[in-house]
Amino acid sequence: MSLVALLILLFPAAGAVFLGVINWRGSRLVNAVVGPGVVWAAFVCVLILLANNVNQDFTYWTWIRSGSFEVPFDILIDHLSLFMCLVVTGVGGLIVTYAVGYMEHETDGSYARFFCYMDLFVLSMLILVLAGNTVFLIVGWAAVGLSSYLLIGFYYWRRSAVIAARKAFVMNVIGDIGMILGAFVLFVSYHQVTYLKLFPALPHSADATTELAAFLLLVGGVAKSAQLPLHTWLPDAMEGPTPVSALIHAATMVTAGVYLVARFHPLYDVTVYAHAAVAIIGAVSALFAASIALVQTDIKRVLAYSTMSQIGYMFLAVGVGAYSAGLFHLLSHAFFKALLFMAAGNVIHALHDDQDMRHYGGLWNDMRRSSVTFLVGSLSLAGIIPFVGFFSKENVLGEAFSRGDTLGYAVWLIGFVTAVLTGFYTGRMWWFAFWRPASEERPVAGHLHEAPLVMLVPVAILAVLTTIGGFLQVKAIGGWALVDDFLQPVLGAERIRTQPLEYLATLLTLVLAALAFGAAYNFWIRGTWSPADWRARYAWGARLLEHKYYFDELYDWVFVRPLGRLAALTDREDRSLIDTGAVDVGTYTERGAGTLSLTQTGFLRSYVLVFVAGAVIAAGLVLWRALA
Amino acid sequence: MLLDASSFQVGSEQLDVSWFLLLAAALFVLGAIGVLIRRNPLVMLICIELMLNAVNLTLVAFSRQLNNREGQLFALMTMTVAAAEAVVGLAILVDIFRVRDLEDVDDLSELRG
Amino acid sequence: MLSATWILPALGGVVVCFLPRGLARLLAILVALAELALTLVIAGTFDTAHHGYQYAEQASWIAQFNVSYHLGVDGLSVWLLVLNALIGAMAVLATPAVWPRASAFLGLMLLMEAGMAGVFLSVDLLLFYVFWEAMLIPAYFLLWLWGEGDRPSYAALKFVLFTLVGSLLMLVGVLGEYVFSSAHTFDLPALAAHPPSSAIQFGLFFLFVAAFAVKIPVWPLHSWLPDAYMSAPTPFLLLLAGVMGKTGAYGMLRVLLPLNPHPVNWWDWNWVMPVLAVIGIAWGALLALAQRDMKALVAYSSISHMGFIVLGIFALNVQGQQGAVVQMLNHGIIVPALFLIVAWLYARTGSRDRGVLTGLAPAMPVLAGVFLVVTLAALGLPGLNSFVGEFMTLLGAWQLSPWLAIAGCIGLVLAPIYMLRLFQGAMYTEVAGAPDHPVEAVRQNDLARGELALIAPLLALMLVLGLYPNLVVQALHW
Repeated sequence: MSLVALLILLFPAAGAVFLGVINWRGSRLVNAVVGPGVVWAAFVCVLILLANNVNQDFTYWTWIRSGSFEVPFDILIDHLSLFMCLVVTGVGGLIVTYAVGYMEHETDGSYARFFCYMDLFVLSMLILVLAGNTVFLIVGWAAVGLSSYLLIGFYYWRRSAVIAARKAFVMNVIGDIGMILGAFVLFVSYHQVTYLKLFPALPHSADATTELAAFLLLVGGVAKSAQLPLHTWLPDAMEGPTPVSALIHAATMVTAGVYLVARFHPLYDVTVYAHAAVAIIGAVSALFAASIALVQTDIKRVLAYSTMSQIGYMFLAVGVGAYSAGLFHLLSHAFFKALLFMAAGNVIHALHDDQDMRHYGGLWNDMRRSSVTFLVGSLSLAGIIPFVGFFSKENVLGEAFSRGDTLGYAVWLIGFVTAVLTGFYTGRMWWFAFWRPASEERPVAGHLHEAPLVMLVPVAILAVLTTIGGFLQVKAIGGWALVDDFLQPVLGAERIRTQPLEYLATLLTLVLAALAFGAAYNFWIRGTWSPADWRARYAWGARLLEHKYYFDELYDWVFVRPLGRLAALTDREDRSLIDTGAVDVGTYTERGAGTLSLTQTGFLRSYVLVFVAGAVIAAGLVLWRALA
Repeated sequence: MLLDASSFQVGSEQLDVSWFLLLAAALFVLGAIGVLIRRNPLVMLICIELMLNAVNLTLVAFSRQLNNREGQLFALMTMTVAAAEAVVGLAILVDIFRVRDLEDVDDLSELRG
Repeated sequence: MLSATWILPALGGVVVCFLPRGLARLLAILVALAELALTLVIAGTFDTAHHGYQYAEQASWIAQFNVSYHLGVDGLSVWLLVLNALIGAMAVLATPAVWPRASAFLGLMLLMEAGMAGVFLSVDLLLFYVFWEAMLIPAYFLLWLWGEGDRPSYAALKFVLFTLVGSLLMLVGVLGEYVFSSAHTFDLPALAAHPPSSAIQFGLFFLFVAAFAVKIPVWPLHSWLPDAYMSAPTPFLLLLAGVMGKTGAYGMLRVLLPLNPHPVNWWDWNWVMPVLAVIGIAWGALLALAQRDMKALVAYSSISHMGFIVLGIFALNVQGQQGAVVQMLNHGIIVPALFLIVAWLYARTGSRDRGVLTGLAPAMPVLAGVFLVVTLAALGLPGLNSFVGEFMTLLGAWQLSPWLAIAGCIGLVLAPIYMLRLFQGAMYTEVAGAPDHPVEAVRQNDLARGELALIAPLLALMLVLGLYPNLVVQALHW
């Protein structure tokens, strides 16, 4: 089994090497098979491990040994990592397969490069979730950042893509540093890096060390999961091809922060402030992102902000201690958000890469299949029963509500408002982009081509999963909880029990979200209310939202420009202060030597005179000493 | 024929070592003054030889007085060095004369600061 | 065997100097490869479990002062020796057949390699000093006679004056060790066993630091570096940046710290260095941010990276110092690769301005791929070599003082910014004439096979050391 566990990593690694080094100029067909093939092979390996009920820490070799600091190269197989692997390889496999069709217009070189990067990403993500120690986790953590960078900047001839890629990378590096420092704190305090030895060594009550470590790790989680205040890279990351957005910036990588908190739950369980911070950051990010999503016109950006918002829910869940609820929402979100992105991708593909919803319309008639799948995803996102989004979101909110303390009620309230907003912006997206008559600005006149089968099938599979996946865990309406049960060996039993009042809250959320979804119809189809009027009425609010609360401008003003100025200043000072200082030493030495060299008159006799005078003085001194 | 170590006999006269030293000093000062005041390089070289010979005289005189042959050996050594120095010095002079018309060492002042 | 390691390139260098051009190049390549093979044999047969020096050779040299010709390798020096031979071989191979006064150039490079090998091998302080000065002489001539740019002689003079001031102070320190240590010898292990009093150590500490800090260089003694690196011709630059800077850090670990473990007078002066190191990390990174010339950018980034090494050394704990050794090798692998790539780009485009170069990736896909890997290694991506070294040095620094580690992280944040600017500037964004659409790659001037073969060992090492850093670390005992 240890080989099978390693094969999960080796398949995508081999795929990436094959595509990037060996066959990068070779057959397109081979690349189209290898690219997704290795992901599915890894998926099969995960299934084998699952079938054999493996639960073990496999150590392959010692990676670093330096004094007491010993890092093994190990893979931890337990239900949490298997759960994440299923999401990564399963949903990932579907998305990479979809990309075979989506990327068909690319040149041969770009085609191979794309699948190389995709496999590299899957490899990195698998390292992240399979890592058995903190250092190895950081390797995966940074490697997904790299793959994300490469894929955001995939269209490297577009300046905006390149800048977005670098922005994502740098913000992720800030997170990585948080992780690294967190690992330092844990190692220095508890002398362990492997999870299985580290967690038992943790204290049973919060102290400054655990809080510090938890906060530092949270920095990494916040950066990777695009939560406040390190979220600005995610919307820009939509510069990447749509399958990338689906895989990395919706289904897998951005949820790494949730995985992180769940993985380190023994740490977060003992901390008070750091744990509450997770919930608060999540709740505020959810509301923040949902409000921005209300006014975006680029369909992928709406989806990006909704991703940030949904991850906020997951943070909220793990922040209130409902780890498996958070992970259930992670799974559910992977289904419906990948579905939404890929259905949107079909449309974008058909419309020649136009992503502006104002140019859409008429899709319900022209692209019926993609539209139906998008509707399924939308309803799930809005939290309409019986789609998976309803069950998972209500699970999260229910856990927060039934926690019964101030924090629980506060984050529930924010989550509740967010759910209503979500209903509204999802409705806007649906009615405005798909349902309304075709826009005159639509870039492709006449009939649109529905996506090919290789793109439709993965979308259809996800649509089915989105529809029935909710029945894995129907706690929201009081029933079984398969995800809880599956994760229980790692995360422990859910401690929070359901209250009767929760059902009312669930019903309220459902009804209001559905109403909000419907209200969007009145705005953009029936015209009962005019969006333009509302915009005019709340102009300052609209401006605030359209500028995304001015975060980009703020960061530019506070960090980017001062950094540039500081670099220029350093450059100047390095010349004028340090270099000149050093050169001045030389200059003064030279000047002093010039003065002294005047004694060299060039007249032989004056040298002799000095010489003789010296001899006489020396002789005089000797005589004087002898006589004295 | 070893005599009393501190005696110098010339015929029947006893000479004190200080006479030799005085002579040597006089020669040395003459040489030094010559080097200082003369401008002809050839004469300066001769004056240097004079100073070296003054030193040789001192060495030999002390050698005799102390009854120690090392002084005489050193005198021989000095002569050798003086010969070598004269060769090198004269060679340089000849070379300089070949390049330019030289009367005065003060004309050779290219190496001033 | 160890004597052969420095005598081979030294003799080879002298012979090569007097051969005609074609023959000289052939012999130089042979010598460099033989040297590489020799060091690999030493590293391969090296017993990692053994503490202390191996393959030691000792002969009395100046008996009156207990100076001996004492060579040896241990875990600290063995891989640096290999690095020296590898970069030396690359430098020789990277010298084109048409090169002004090629024989002398190659010969001097071999001599410099010999000098550096001697530095890594010496176990006697005076011998160390002799080799230390010996490696400077060929370096001076290489920089002066073959330098590029407006004023190579200025750069060469500045380089020599800086290093000479340092090394002459070290000479005083060398004599001071002999005088003040009760061992009255120049043998390093014996001196380490009998350190002078801490007040004396305080003085000696600064004498040695002067020499080593200039060579590394440590902020604020770095101002020779940009001039020298900018003027250095590429093959020589590989040796200069790849290996010579490491001799300073090596000296700190081999001489400075073992001989002066407690330079305490009023204050623990060991604290000065990590603070300077951290300033250097941030300073070099900021300077790199401000550069447009790619060669200058790499040169300044080098100051930042060397800061990590010093930080690790003066963390004064196992993780920090072992991390520093790993980082010395990493930097010795990465910086030559970066300079090679910059030189190749310059040869192809005639420009080193990252603001002018753009969109080269489609035309040079292989070069772009290689450049990407090197860039990632340089910015410390986990899984590649640099991460391990930086992680360990920072872990060491954290144990000394968390603030140092946090300040050191500034370098980690800035590294991706300037490195990605370097990479993206040259390789990405618009292709002239076709701004909005991908052109089907018309490959022109992509890496030749020979060039790829030249840089391939470095790429392989980046992966190997990234995945199995224990290869280096396991040989280090302290």
